[in-house]
Amino acid sequence: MHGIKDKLRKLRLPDDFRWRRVAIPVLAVLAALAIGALLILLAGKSPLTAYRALFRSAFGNRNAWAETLVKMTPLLLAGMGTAVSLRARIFNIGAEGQIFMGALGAAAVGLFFGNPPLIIGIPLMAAAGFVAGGIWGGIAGFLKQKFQANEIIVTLMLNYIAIEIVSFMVGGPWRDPVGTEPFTARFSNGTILPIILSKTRLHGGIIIALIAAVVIWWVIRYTTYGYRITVTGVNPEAARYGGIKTGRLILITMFISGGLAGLAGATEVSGVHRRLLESFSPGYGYTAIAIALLGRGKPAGVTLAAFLFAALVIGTNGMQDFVGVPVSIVFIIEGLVLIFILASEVFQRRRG
Amino acid sequence: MTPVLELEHITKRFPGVTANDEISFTLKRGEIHSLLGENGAGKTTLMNILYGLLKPDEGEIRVQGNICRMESPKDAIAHGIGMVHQHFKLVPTFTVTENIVLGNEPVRGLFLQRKDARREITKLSSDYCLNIHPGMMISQLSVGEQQRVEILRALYRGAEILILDEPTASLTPNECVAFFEILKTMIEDGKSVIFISHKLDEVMEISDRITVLRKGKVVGTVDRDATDSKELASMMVGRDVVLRVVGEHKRHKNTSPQASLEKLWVKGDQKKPLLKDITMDVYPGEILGIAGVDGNGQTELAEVFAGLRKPDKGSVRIGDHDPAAAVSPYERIRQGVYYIPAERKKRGSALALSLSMNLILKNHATHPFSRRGILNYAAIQTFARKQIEEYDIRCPSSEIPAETLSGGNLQKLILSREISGKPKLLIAEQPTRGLDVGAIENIHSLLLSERDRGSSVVLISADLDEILALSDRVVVMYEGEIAFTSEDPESAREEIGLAMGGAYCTE
Repeated sequence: MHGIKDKLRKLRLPDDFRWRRVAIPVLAVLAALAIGALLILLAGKSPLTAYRALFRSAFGNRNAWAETLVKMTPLLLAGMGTAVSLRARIFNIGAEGQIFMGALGAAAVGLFFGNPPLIIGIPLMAAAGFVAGGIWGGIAGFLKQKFQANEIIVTLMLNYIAIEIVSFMVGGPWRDPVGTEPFTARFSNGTILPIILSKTRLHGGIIIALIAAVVIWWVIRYTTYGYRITVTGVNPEAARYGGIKTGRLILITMFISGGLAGLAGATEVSGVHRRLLESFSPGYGYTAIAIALLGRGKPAGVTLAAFLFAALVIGTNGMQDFVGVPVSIVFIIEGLVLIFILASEVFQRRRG
Repeated sequence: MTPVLELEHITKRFPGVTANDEISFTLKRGEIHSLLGENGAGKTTLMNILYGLLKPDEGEIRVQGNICRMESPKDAIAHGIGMVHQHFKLVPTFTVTENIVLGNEPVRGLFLQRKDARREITKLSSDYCLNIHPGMMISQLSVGEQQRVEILRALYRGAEILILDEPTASLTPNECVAFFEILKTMIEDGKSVIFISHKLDEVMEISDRITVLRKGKVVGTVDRDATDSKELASMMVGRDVVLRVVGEHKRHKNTSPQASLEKLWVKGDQKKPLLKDITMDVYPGEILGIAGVDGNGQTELAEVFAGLRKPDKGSVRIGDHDPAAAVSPYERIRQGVYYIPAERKKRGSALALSLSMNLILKNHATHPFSRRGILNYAAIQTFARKQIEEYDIRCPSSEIPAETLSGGNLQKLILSREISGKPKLLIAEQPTRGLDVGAIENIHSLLLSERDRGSSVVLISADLDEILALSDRVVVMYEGEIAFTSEDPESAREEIGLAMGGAYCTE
C-alpha cells in the first residue's frame, strides 16, 4: 500500500508553487480542448480548422482583441465581486441580479440627469451602478447577519427579482416611446463610456475593471478590513474569537461584492448597448462564479480567469460562426475547462 | 523463562522520518512494562506494528519464543495480544455483550447466541473486578466503564498480553486509582501489560519496568525501583527539565476582584443547564484553578468570560466596567480579557495564515500594526520575529503558515499572542493538553510570571496535578455547577479528586 503511495508522490508535480499555479490551468485548458477536438470530429468537422477559427476570433486581429476585452470587462468586475465575498466565505451567487440592479442604477443617471460632461457623467453613472448593485448584495448580507438566512438561497432568489424589475422598467415606465422593442432611450452622451480603440467596440469599461481589480488587491492585502476578510474566510470561529465583528463584516463585504457586480452591469449597458434593455447579460453573473473559483478568489487569478473565459466565449462563438461547430459542443468545452481546473485543484490539495 | 513477547530491532520508516529505529523490547510474563515517550517518539507506531496494523520494514516479533508475522489485528488476537485504543471503538447503541462479540459473533444458523457470551462476560467481569453488567447499553456507561468494556473485549478474545494506549487520558483521578487496581488483578492472574503513557507519575506508580523512547529510538530500559521521575524526564526529553514549576502561592484578599461572576446561568440545548448558578471572584495576582473532567461547563465558562457566549441569567463584571452593558468579544479584549482556548486549531488560530498574521489577530487594529485602517507590514513582522525569539517558537520564518507548526509551538504562538496583549484577566483552557514535558514546563512558567506581573489567571484544566501545582485557589466544576471550592488546594487533593468525579454533587 505504501509502495503505491510513494509512487504517486513521485508522480506529483514539483512543489514549485508559482510554476504550478500557471501550469495547472494551462494543462486543464489543453485537456478540455483535446476532448473537445474529439467531439468536433464526431460532429464531422475538422478540429484543426475549428481551433484555428477559435484562436483567430479571439486574438486574430485588432478587432478580435477588442471583442475579447469587451467580453472580459463584465466578467472581470462580476468575478472580482464574487471573489471578494468568497474570500470571506460568503457564497454570493447573486452577481447576476446585482449586475441587473447596477445597470438599472446606471440607467437612472443615463436617462434622467440631463447631459453632464463626461468627467462628471461617467463617475456618477458608475457610482450609481455600484451603489445599486451594492444595495442588492447588502440585502442578502443583512438577512444573513440578522437572521442567519442562507445567502446562497437569498442571492439566487434576488436574481429573479432583479431581472424582473429591469424587465418591468424597460417594458413600462422607462420604455423608449419610439423603440420597437422593450428598451429605454439612449443614455445621455456624458454618461456613455467612450470608445478607447477606434473602429472597435472596446470601451473604457476595461480600464475601470482593471483599476477595480488593483484596488481590491490593495484593500485585501494592505488594510485591516482586508485582513479581517481573510481571517473570517479562513476560520470564522477564530475571527469571532479574535474580536472581529463578523456581522458587520458580512454586511460590508456583501455591499462591496454586489457593488462590483453592479459596476459590471453599469459598464456593460453604458459602454456596449448605450441604453438599458431586457436581456443584456447572457449569464455573466453565473460565469463570474466559475471565474472567482478558478482565480482562487485572488485578484490576479480572477483577472487571468476572466481573460481566459472571455477569449473562450469569443473564440467558440467564432468557431460556431465560421466552421459551423454546433453550439452544444461550445458549451461542453467551456464546461470541461471548468471541471478540469477544479479537479486539478482537488488533486493539488491532497498532499501527504 | 522465555519472555511472553520480544520485539527485535524493529524499524519502520515513513517518508522523511524513521518512526521506529531498531527498537528492541521484551515483556516478561506478569509484568507491567511501560513505554514512555513524548508525542511523536514512536510509541504508537511500535504498538500498531505489534498489533498488525502496520508492517515493520525490518525486525521480528516473537511471542512465547516463536517468530510471528502480524499481517492484521486478527493475527495479533490469535497470538493472544489485545489492544485498548486511546479512543474507544465501541458502538454506543449496542449493549456490552453485543459490542464484545462484534466481529466474532457466536451464531447458530441465523441466530445470535447471546447466552453463552453473556455468561462468559459476567464471569470475566467478576474475576477481574471490572463490575460491568453485560446487558447495559454503551451510551449509558461512563468513560471509565467504557474503558473496562474494551478490556473485557480483549480478555474475552483470550488476550494474554494487553496493550493500553494512554489509558488514563480521559479518566478522573479516582477512576485512575480504580483502574490501576484492575491492572494489578490482571497481573496477579498472569497477564502481561504494555502501558503506553507520557505521564511520569503514573508510569512510576504502576510499572515494573520502563522503556523510554525518544525520536524513534530506545533511550533505555530501567527498573522502576532503580529510577525516579527526574531521570525518566531527562531520558524522555534529552536534557534536564524542571518537573514541576511551583510558584509561591499568594493570596490577595484585600484587593477588589478583577472579575466577578454573579449567579450566572447558561441554558443548554437539552434540559440540563450548561452553567448553573455560578458565583465566583477572581483577584489580581492569583491563579484560580478550575478543575473538572471535560464537558462539565468549563468551556462555556471560558466563553462567558471572553464574551463569546451570552449568559441567560446573572452578571459578569470585569474590572470597573459596567456589568449591565452589552459585550462582544471585541469589547472584552479591549477590557483586557485574553483567552487561550482548548481548541487551538479550530478557534485559537487561523491555520492557513502565516505566523505573523496569527500573532496580530487580537490587536491588528491598534498601533503599531495599523494606522487608519492600513496595515504596517514592517511593524507586524518585527513584532512577529520578536515574539518568535522571545517565546522560542521553533520555525524557519514568521511567514510560514501556522499549520506547519507542531502542537507545542502552535500553543506557544497562541500564548505569546495572548500575553502580548498585557491581559488583566487571562483564561487558560487546557493549556498543556497533549504537549511534551519541555513545552509544559515552558507554559507553566509563563502562566506563573503572568500572575506575578499582577494579572488574574483562570486556569481551566482536567489535569489535577497541573491544577495543584499552579493554583492559588481551586474551584471544581461538575455538571455546570461549582461542586467544591478550596482556599488551600495542596491539602485538599483528595476532596478535589472526589469532587471532579461527582462525589459532592448536590443531587
